[in-house]
Amino acid sequence: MIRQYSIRFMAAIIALAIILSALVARLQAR
Amino acid sequence: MKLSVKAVLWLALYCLMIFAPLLIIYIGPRPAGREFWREFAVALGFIGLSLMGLQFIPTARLPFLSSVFPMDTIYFVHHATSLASLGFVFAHPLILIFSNPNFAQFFNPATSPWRVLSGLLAVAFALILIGSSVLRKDLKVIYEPWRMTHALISVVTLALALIHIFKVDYYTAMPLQRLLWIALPLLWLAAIVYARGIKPARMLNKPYELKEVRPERNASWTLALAPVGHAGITFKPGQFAWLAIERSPFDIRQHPFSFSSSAERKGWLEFTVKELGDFTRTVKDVKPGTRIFVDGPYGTFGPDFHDAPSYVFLAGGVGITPIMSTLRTLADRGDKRPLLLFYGSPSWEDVIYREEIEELEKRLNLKVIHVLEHPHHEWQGEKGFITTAVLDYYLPEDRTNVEYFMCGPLPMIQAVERALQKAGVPMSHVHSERYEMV
Repeated sequence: MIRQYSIRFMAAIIALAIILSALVARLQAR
Repeated sequence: MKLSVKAVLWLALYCLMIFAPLLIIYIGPRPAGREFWREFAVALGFIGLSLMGLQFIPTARLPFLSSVFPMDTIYFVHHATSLASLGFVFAHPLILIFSNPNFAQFFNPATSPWRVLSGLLAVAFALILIGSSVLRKDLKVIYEPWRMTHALISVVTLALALIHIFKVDYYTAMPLQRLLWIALPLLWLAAIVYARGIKPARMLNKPYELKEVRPERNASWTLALAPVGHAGITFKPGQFAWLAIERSPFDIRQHPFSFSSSAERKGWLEFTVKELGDFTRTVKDVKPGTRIFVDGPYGTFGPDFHDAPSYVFLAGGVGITPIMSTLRTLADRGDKRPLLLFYGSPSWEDVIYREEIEELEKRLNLKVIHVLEHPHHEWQGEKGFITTAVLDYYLPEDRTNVEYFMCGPLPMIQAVERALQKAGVPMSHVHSERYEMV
């Protein structure tokens, strides 16, 4: 059970990292 | 504070530390922006590095983390985040090259400036670090030398990555950003100092002596330890500890084992070890009188962490050890709650603690269902594995008012987890302990 939660948590972290990186890059880019 | 609240707070702090570099890029005074793909590549590189550095925290065996999250889950997250960090770290140079092929000229190690070379080396070391961990078993690399190399390469990788960031000096030029890239490594360093300095120094003052090595069934051995000059640690049944046998507590070569003795027996610790790998095959040769250091207890497995009116235990082979500790403890406490144990073993002769479990059935409100993979001709009990049919037959009608604890090899845990689900057991009541953490 907790393994399922941790897989979802990891997937969310990875997705969030890509989205936030793109967002910061978009805001920062010339 | 409730365990779930603590868990949410820790996860929030964990996320904050991962994403701190991005926040600082945007909040702080920042240099002029460049084209999107270059900024994106830099952001991914920062995330990759912060994720990689954070790996020192779960592996430092911090008591406040291991009292909230199961240790096998902490290690699972360590493995998964390491792979993710490698992906981000790799994406950083690849996106730079694809966005501007002129960058390729910097990627020749012979002519590359130090600010780029340090980054390239960091990526190469990260690949070796994580590749050697993922492929360790396939490549048949011995655990102990691998573990020492793993620790060393991880420090070198992070040092090179930090040199890269400070040499490029684009997002470290502003004080707040510089502060972040000093504070984060200091945090990683603090985890290393705690794990490799403070904790072993404390263990050094609390040695144990091996009192006896007892043979058990199925090529397993019980090590019995007594504290020397101190009262000894207290633990809860189902927990485990790392042992440094015949070694200094500063030695990185330590091995995790579940307590198998009763938690009510003060000043006496037992661990039952099966001959499974390079180290465990040598356990039987350790002489009584040997000095042993114990790092623990760890883990959140067992009835003391999950109160319920009745319990079901599911063990595979030597996975019986934390459950045996639980049964012994409950018997010593005079606990009369109904207990059901499904115990899978290769054969009747391989049933570890067979005789003592029969005794415990008399002291506890315990029913044991042995499931034998290779039963003898006269065997009247269950055969094969712990399947949905077996569970359905023996589990009580009300399967929601019970907590389930299982321990065994990974394939067994996965199969039994599916079988429990099919048998209508709510998965939030199922707790597992995998002894293949690393």
